[in-house]
Amino acid sequence: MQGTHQAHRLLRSEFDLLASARAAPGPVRALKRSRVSRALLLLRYILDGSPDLRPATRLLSEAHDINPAAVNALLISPWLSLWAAVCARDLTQRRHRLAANAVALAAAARCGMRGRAMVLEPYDGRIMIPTVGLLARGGPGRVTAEDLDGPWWWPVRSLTCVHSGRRIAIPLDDVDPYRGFHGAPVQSRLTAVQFDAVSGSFREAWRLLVEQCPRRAAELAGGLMSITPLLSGDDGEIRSATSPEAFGGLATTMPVDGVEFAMVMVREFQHSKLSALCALAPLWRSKPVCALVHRIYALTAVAALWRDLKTAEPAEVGMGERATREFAFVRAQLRRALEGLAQGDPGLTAAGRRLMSRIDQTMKSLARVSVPAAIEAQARERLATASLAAS
Amino acid sequence: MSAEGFADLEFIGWPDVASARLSCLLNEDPNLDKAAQDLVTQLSEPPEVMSGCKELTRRTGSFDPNSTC
Repeated sequence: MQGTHQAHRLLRSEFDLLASARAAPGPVRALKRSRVSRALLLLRYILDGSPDLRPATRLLSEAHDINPAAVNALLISPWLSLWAAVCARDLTQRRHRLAANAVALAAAARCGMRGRAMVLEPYDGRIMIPTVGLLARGGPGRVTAEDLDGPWWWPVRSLTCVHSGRRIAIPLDDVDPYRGFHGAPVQSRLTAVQFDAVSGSFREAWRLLVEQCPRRAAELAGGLMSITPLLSGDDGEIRSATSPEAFGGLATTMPVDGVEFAMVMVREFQHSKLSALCALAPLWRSKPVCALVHRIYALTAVAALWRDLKTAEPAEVGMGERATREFAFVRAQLRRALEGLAQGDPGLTAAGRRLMSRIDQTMKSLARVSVPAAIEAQARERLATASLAAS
Repeated sequence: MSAEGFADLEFIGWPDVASARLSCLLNEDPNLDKAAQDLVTQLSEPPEVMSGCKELTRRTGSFDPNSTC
């Protein structure tokens, strides 16, 4: 039977809010819906082109009939989305293709389908059940949702907290093999002590966001879907990454405090939003322009967050000076980046020009924020020093 | 671009199947075949990393196209 499906739409008002680089919890829901369509189409392609996945096809279809929302949430989880892209690109890769069996078991587990077994093959002696956990024992065999327990079972843990009635729960995925998409070395399974330390920074970040930037907090609670830890380098620098194929996922070295954690989440989710928007409506025509627009889009949100922390009421202990200094510096970076990209840049599409005009409006409001002249001068000096170091 | 010159965006070629059941989507449908095939063709090879930034202080002012943070 053939169906007719409408094309995805984004209202002009939704586009404009996303384009402004401000928090946009409503339009993020629209972006997530587009990711569900994308995930279902890719899954259809994979299942349709793989006769050996019939058992997985049956289980996934049943689970989706029982609880489509739960299965859709699984399918758009970041590292599973990345798997789907990798798998669909080359269906001859048996390892990637057979991972669909574990996806089916994850769907069954999420839908409470007890006793349903899938034959799963380990890779490197381990079987990943996406978003659920890792079965760290070798040998192929039948696995049911009830087997996902015991000493060989490493569940995916969540960073969960509530502040002023606002709840957030983000899986901290330190086991999924597809989380290592970015080439940077990923952190292996965190110890309980390490996990507690990360949870502490995360709680502090959530408190700051809820109190000082509630709309940004709402956006992250609705859109951020996975955080994966990266190994820290000897230089102690924060490194973080996102992938266009993994909407709502970010990888990062572990931030040292809540402020840093909040900045990483906001910055990386900006990249996710922009990638998802660009997948729907091309915004640029070249990679250098893409990189520059991403930079501007992320910096705009980071500058706005520092501005909000700078004026936080009641004043955060020690926050005022740090926030003022960082705000001035990021704003200086942003100005420099904007100089590199005029609104009429031929590398931008019509939608890209619209995006830049909205960002420009946000920048005008950031430009009005007053900063002591001495701190402004320090920011310019810091920018010059960093430019020199980078050249 | 003026606000008047910018309409709601309709993303042709990317059907909204978010409310559909997987069991229905698996039925034969040349339109969905084409949509899925187009989507696969557009997938980046290999998966692209859109950021991967070091701390902002190290990237300040450098318009390195590989840096997007």
